Amino acid sequence: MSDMIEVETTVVSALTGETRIIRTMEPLGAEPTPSVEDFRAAVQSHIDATAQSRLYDSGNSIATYATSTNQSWAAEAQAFIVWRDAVWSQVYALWADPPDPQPTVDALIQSLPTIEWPDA
Amino acid sequence: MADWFNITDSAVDPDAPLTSELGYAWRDNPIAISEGSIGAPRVNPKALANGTLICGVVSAGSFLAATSINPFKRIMMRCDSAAENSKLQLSFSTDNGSNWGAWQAGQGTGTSSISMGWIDLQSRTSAVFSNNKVGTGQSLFSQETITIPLNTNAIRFRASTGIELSWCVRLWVLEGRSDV
Repeated sequence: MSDMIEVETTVVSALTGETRIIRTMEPLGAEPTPSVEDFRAAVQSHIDATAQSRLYDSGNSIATYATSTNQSWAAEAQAFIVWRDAVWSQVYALWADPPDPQPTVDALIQSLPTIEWPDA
Repeated sequence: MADWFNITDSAVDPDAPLTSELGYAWRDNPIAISEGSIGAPRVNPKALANGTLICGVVSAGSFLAATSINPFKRIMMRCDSAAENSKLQLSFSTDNGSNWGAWQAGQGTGTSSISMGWIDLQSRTSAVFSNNKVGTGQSLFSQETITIPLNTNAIRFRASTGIELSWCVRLWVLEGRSDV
Protein backbone atom coordinates (compact mmCIF):
# COMPACT_ATOMS: atom_id res chain seq x y z
CA MET A 1 0.00 0.00 0.00
CA SER A 2 1.55 3.30 -1.08
CA ASP A 3 2.09 6.12 1.39
CA MET A 4 -0.62 8.75 1.53
CA ILE A 5 0.07 12.44 1.93
CA GLU A 6 -2.16 15.44 2.37
CA VAL A 7 -2.26 17.31 -0.91
CA GLU A 8 -3.39 20.87 -1.47
CA THR A 9 -4.89 21.49 -4.91
CA THR A 10 -5.43 24.99 -6.26
CA VAL A 11 -8.44 24.74 -8.57
CA VAL A 12 -9.18 27.50 -11.05
CA SER A 13 -12.44 27.57 -13.01
CA ALA A 14 -11.84 28.53 -16.62
CA LEU A 15 -15.50 29.53 -16.77
CA THR A 16 -15.62 32.01 -13.90
CA GLY A 17 -11.99 32.53 -12.88
CA GLU A 18 -12.94 31.49 -9.37
CA THR A 19 -10.04 29.99 -7.41
CA ARG A 20 -10.46 27.60 -4.52
CA ILE A 21 -8.17 25.35 -2.57
CA ILE A 22 -9.12 21.82 -1.66
CA ARG A 23 -7.26 19.37 0.53
CA THR A 24 -7.30 15.64 -0.07
CA MET A 25 -5.29 12.59 0.84
CA GLU A 26 -3.46 11.26 -2.18
CA PRO A 27 -1.06 8.38 -2.80
CA LEU A 28 2.48 9.68 -2.75
CA GLY A 29 3.97 9.62 -6.25
CA ALA A 30 6.55 6.90 -6.64
CA GLU A 31 10.15 7.95 -6.91
CA PRO A 32 10.83 8.00 -10.64
CA THR A 33 13.24 5.16 -11.31
CA PRO A 34 15.17 5.80 -14.51
CA SER A 35 14.60 3.07 -17.05
CA VAL A 36 17.25 1.37 -19.13
CA GLU A 37 16.12 3.60 -21.99
CA ASP A 38 16.55 6.70 -19.80
CA PHE A 39 20.16 5.72 -19.13
CA ARG A 40 20.82 4.68 -22.73
CA ALA A 41 19.46 7.90 -24.18
CA ALA A 42 21.43 10.03 -21.73
CA VAL A 43 24.68 8.17 -22.38
CA GLN A 44 24.20 8.38 -26.15
CA SER A 45 23.48 12.07 -25.86
CA HIS A 46 26.65 12.52 -23.80
CA ILE A 47 28.66 10.64 -26.43
CA ASP A 48 27.24 12.79 -29.23
CA ALA A 49 27.88 15.97 -27.26
CA THR A 50 31.49 14.96 -26.78
CA ALA A 51 31.89 14.50 -30.53
CA GLN A 52 30.13 17.81 -31.18
CA SER A 53 32.62 19.56 -28.91
CA ARG A 54 35.14 18.88 -31.67
CA LEU A 55 32.71 20.08 -34.35
CA TYR A 56 31.64 16.66 -35.57
CA ASP A 57 27.94 16.04 -36.12
CA SER A 58 27.70 13.04 -33.81
CA GLY A 59 29.51 10.09 -32.32
CA ASN A 60 28.81 8.12 -35.49
CA SER A 61 30.23 10.91 -37.62
CA ILE A 62 33.55 11.20 -35.81
CA ALA A 63 34.00 7.42 -35.87
CA THR A 64 34.00 7.47 -39.68
CA TYR A 65 37.23 9.48 -39.59
CA ALA A 66 39.17 6.60 -38.03
CA THR A 67 40.68 5.80 -41.45
CA SER A 68 40.87 9.41 -42.62
CA THR A 69 43.92 10.44 -44.63
CA ASN A 70 44.04 13.51 -42.41
CA GLN A 71 46.21 12.37 -39.50
CA SER A 72 44.72 14.86 -37.05
CA TRP A 73 41.15 13.75 -37.72
CA ALA A 74 42.11 10.08 -37.66
CA ALA A 75 43.79 10.58 -34.29
CA GLU A 76 40.73 12.28 -32.88
CA ALA A 77 38.52 9.48 -34.15
CA GLN A 78 40.76 6.81 -32.64
CA ALA A 79 40.81 8.54 -29.27
CA PHE A 80 37.04 8.91 -29.45
CA ILE A 81 36.49 5.23 -30.26
CA VAL A 82 38.67 4.12 -27.34
CA TRP A 83 36.77 6.44 -25.02
CA ARG A 84 33.37 5.40 -26.38
CA ASP A 85 34.19 1.72 -25.75
CA ALA A 86 35.19 2.56 -22.17
CA VAL A 87 31.94 4.45 -21.64
CA TRP A 88 29.69 1.68 -22.86
CA SER A 89 31.73 -0.96 -21.05
CA GLN A 90 31.09 0.88 -17.82
CA VAL A 91 27.40 1.26 -18.57
CA TYR A 92 26.98 -2.42 -19.52
CA ALA A 93 28.79 -3.43 -16.33
CA LEU A 94 26.32 -1.28 -14.41
CA TRP A 95 23.39 -2.98 -16.06
CA ALA A 96 24.87 -6.45 -15.45
CA ASP A 97 25.38 -5.74 -11.76
CA PRO A 98 23.17 -2.81 -10.76
CA PRO A 99 24.27 -1.01 -7.62
CA ASP A 100 21.88 -0.39 -4.77
CA PRO A 101 20.69 2.29 -4.68
CA GLN A 102 20.53 2.87 -8.41
CA PRO A 103 22.26 6.11 -9.42
CA THR A 104 20.40 8.94 -11.02
CA VAL A 105 20.93 9.55 -14.71
CA ASP A 106 22.91 12.68 -13.92
CA ALA A 107 25.13 10.85 -11.44
CA LEU A 108 25.87 8.16 -14.01
CA ILE A 109 26.91 10.68 -16.62
CA GLN A 110 29.19 12.41 -14.12
CA SER A 111 30.86 9.08 -13.31
CA LEU A 112 31.76 8.21 -16.91
CA PRO A 113 35.36 8.28 -18.10
CA THR A 114 36.77 11.51 -19.42
CA ILE A 115 38.02 11.49 -22.99
CA GLU A 116 41.68 12.23 -23.67
CA TRP A 117 41.93 14.03 -26.95
CA PRO A 118 45.20 13.83 -28.89
CA ASP A 119 47.34 16.92 -28.85
CA ALA A 120 46.41 19.35 -31.59
CA MET B 1 -21.07 32.30 -41.92
CA ALA B 2 -22.82 35.65 -41.57
CA ASP B 3 -22.01 38.44 -44.00
CA TRP B 4 -20.78 41.80 -42.85
CA PHE B 5 -22.83 44.79 -43.97
CA ASN B 6 -21.56 48.32 -43.73
CA ILE B 7 -24.19 50.53 -42.14
CA THR B 8 -23.84 54.05 -43.52
CA ASP B 9 -24.71 57.25 -41.71
CA SER B 10 -27.54 57.90 -44.13
CA ALA B 11 -29.12 54.59 -43.21
CA VAL B 12 -29.47 55.66 -39.60
CA ASP B 13 -29.85 59.42 -39.95
CA PRO B 14 -32.99 60.98 -38.45
CA ASP B 15 -36.09 60.17 -40.51
CA ALA B 16 -34.21 57.46 -42.44
CA PRO B 17 -36.54 54.56 -43.25
CA LEU B 18 -36.28 51.47 -41.11
CA THR B 19 -35.62 48.80 -43.73
CA SER B 20 -35.32 45.05 -43.43
CA GLU B 21 -31.82 45.35 -44.87
CA LEU B 22 -30.90 47.45 -41.86
CA GLY B 23 -32.53 44.90 -39.60
CA TYR B 24 -30.52 42.07 -41.14
CA ALA B 25 -27.36 44.09 -40.62
CA TRP B 26 -28.17 44.64 -36.95
CA ARG B 27 -28.79 40.91 -36.57
CA ASP B 28 -25.89 39.57 -38.58
CA ASN B 29 -23.06 42.06 -38.03
CA PRO B 30 -22.23 40.91 -34.46
CA ILE B 31 -22.22 37.34 -35.74
CA ALA B 32 -19.96 38.33 -38.62
CA ILE B 33 -17.48 39.88 -36.19
CA SER B 34 -17.33 36.78 -34.07
CA GLU B 35 -16.87 34.63 -37.16
CA GLY B 36 -14.20 36.82 -38.73
CA SER B 37 -16.24 37.36 -41.91
CA ILE B 38 -14.79 39.24 -44.86
CA GLY B 39 -15.04 42.96 -44.29
CA ALA B 40 -15.94 42.67 -40.62
CA PRO B 41 -13.71 44.48 -38.14
CA ARG B 42 -11.26 42.22 -36.35
CA VAL B 43 -11.37 41.74 -32.62
CA ASN B 44 -8.69 43.90 -31.05
CA PRO B 45 -6.37 41.98 -28.72
CA LYS B 46 -7.06 44.67 -26.18
CA ALA B 47 -10.63 43.38 -26.01
CA LEU B 48 -9.60 39.84 -25.16
CA ALA B 49 -9.85 38.60 -21.61
CA ASN B 50 -6.74 37.12 -20.08
CA GLY B 51 -6.14 33.86 -21.94
CA THR B 52 -4.13 32.35 -19.11
CA LEU B 53 -5.98 29.48 -17.48
CA ILE B 54 -3.62 28.64 -14.65
CA CYS B 55 -0.15 29.70 -13.65
CA GLY B 56 1.52 28.38 -10.56
CA VAL B 57 3.93 25.97 -8.96
CA VAL B 58 3.33 22.31 -8.29
CA SER B 59 5.08 19.69 -6.22
CA ALA B 60 4.29 16.22 -4.96
CA GLY B 61 2.17 17.81 -2.23
CA SER B 62 0.72 20.76 -4.13
CA PHE B 63 -1.32 20.26 -7.29
CA LEU B 64 -2.71 22.76 -9.78
CA ALA B 65 -5.99 22.18 -11.62
CA ALA B 66 -8.15 23.95 -14.20
CA THR B 67 -11.84 23.04 -14.50
CA SER B 68 -14.54 23.85 -17.09
CA ILE B 69 -11.98 23.73 -19.88
CA ASN B 70 -14.25 21.95 -22.39
CA PRO B 71 -15.09 25.14 -24.38
CA PHE B 72 -11.47 25.34 -25.46
CA LYS B 73 -10.05 23.52 -28.43
CA ARG B 74 -6.33 24.03 -28.08
CA ILE B 75 -4.55 24.76 -24.83
CA MET B 76 -0.86 25.58 -24.70
CA MET B 77 1.32 24.39 -21.86
CA ARG B 78 4.72 25.43 -20.63
CA CYS B 79 6.25 23.83 -17.56
CA ASP B 80 9.70 24.47 -16.14
CA SER B 81 11.68 22.82 -13.39
CA ALA B 82 15.13 23.11 -11.88
CA ALA B 83 14.56 20.07 -9.71
CA GLU B 84 16.58 17.02 -10.57
CA ASN B 85 14.81 13.71 -10.86
CA SER B 86 11.31 15.16 -10.58
CA LYS B 87 8.81 14.27 -13.28
CA LEU B 88 5.89 16.49 -14.23
CA GLN B 89 2.66 14.53 -14.49
CA LEU B 90 -0.88 15.39 -15.54
CA SER B 91 -4.28 13.79 -15.35
CA PHE B 92 -7.72 14.53 -16.75
CA SER B 93 -11.26 14.57 -15.42
CA THR B 94 -14.59 14.18 -17.26
CA ASP B 95 -16.73 15.33 -14.32
CA ASN B 96 -15.05 18.67 -13.75
CA GLY B 97 -12.68 17.55 -11.07
CA SER B 98 -14.80 15.27 -8.90
CA ASN B 99 -12.85 12.27 -10.11
CA TRP B 100 -9.54 12.08 -11.90
CA GLY B 101 -7.95 9.65 -14.33
CA ALA B 102 -4.51 8.10 -13.91
CA TRP B 103 -1.42 10.28 -13.89
CA GLN B 104 0.26 10.49 -17.29
CA ALA B 105 3.50 11.69 -18.83
CA GLY B 106 6.52 12.04 -16.66
CA GLN B 107 9.70 12.98 -18.42
CA GLY B 108 12.17 15.32 -16.89
CA THR B 109 14.67 13.23 -14.97
CA GLY B 110 17.46 15.74 -15.38
CA THR B 111 17.91 19.24 -14.12
CA SER B 112 16.45 22.32 -15.73
CA SER B 113 13.76 20.42 -17.51
CA ILE B 114 11.17 22.04 -19.71
CA SER B 115 7.93 20.59 -21.00
CA MET B 116 5.92 22.46 -23.55
CA GLY B 117 3.32 21.75 -26.12
CA TRP B 118 -0.43 21.77 -26.64
CA ILE B 119 -3.44 19.57 -26.08
CA ASP B 120 -6.50 19.65 -28.33
CA LEU B 121 -9.72 18.80 -26.49
CA GLN B 122 -11.79 18.68 -29.70
CA SER B 123 -9.64 16.22 -31.65
CA ARG B 124 -8.16 14.75 -28.42
CA THR B 125 -4.67 14.98 -29.82
CA SER B 126 -1.57 16.48 -28.32
CA ALA B 127 2.02 17.42 -28.99
CA VAL B 128 3.98 17.66 -25.79
CA PHE B 129 7.75 17.69 -25.67
CA SER B 130 10.11 17.43 -22.75
CA ASN B 131 13.64 18.72 -22.61
CA ASN B 132 15.84 16.97 -20.11
CA LYS B 133 19.26 18.40 -19.45
CA VAL B 134 21.71 15.85 -18.14
CA GLY B 135 25.05 16.28 -16.47
CA THR B 136 26.95 17.74 -19.40
CA GLY B 137 24.18 20.20 -20.10
CA GLN B 138 23.19 18.32 -23.21
CA SER B 139 19.49 18.56 -23.90
CA LEU B 140 17.33 15.59 -24.74
CA PHE B 141 14.06 16.40 -26.40
CA SER B 142 11.48 13.67 -26.27
CA GLN B 143 7.81 13.60 -27.18
CA GLU B 144 5.30 12.57 -24.59
CA THR B 145 2.37 10.26 -25.30
CA ILE B 146 -0.79 11.61 -23.72
CA THR B 147 -4.26 10.06 -23.79
CA ILE B 148 -7.10 12.60 -23.57
CA PRO B 149 -10.43 11.00 -22.56
CA LEU B 150 -13.66 11.86 -24.38
CA ASN B 151 -15.55 14.74 -22.71
CA THR B 152 -12.52 15.93 -20.78
CA ASN B 153 -13.38 19.10 -18.92
CA ALA B 154 -10.61 19.44 -16.34
CA ILE B 155 -6.85 18.96 -16.11
CA ARG B 156 -4.46 18.90 -13.18
CA PHE B 157 -0.70 18.79 -12.67
CA ARG B 158 1.70 17.54 -10.03
CA ALA B 159 5.38 16.73 -9.60
CA SER B 160 5.99 13.02 -9.14
CA THR B 161 8.39 13.56 -6.27
CA GLY B 162 9.64 16.34 -4.10
CA ILE B 163 7.54 18.02 -1.47
CA GLU B 164 9.49 21.19 -2.12
CA LEU B 165 8.40 23.42 -4.98
CA SER B 166 9.32 21.61 -8.15
CA TRP B 167 7.61 22.73 -11.35
CA CYS B 168 6.24 26.01 -12.60
CA VAL B 169 3.18 25.37 -14.76
CA ARG B 170 1.38 27.73 -17.12
CA LEU B 171 -1.62 27.00 -19.34
CA TRP B 172 -3.18 29.40 -21.78
CA VAL B 173 -5.89 29.20 -24.41
CA LEU B 174 -4.96 29.24 -28.07
CA GLU B 175 -8.30 28.49 -29.67
CA GLY B 176 -11.94 27.90 -28.78
CA ARG B 177 -13.99 24.89 -29.88
CA SER B 178 -16.50 25.00 -32.68
CA ASP B 179 -18.43 21.86 -31.75
CA VAL B 180 -19.74 22.75 -28.27
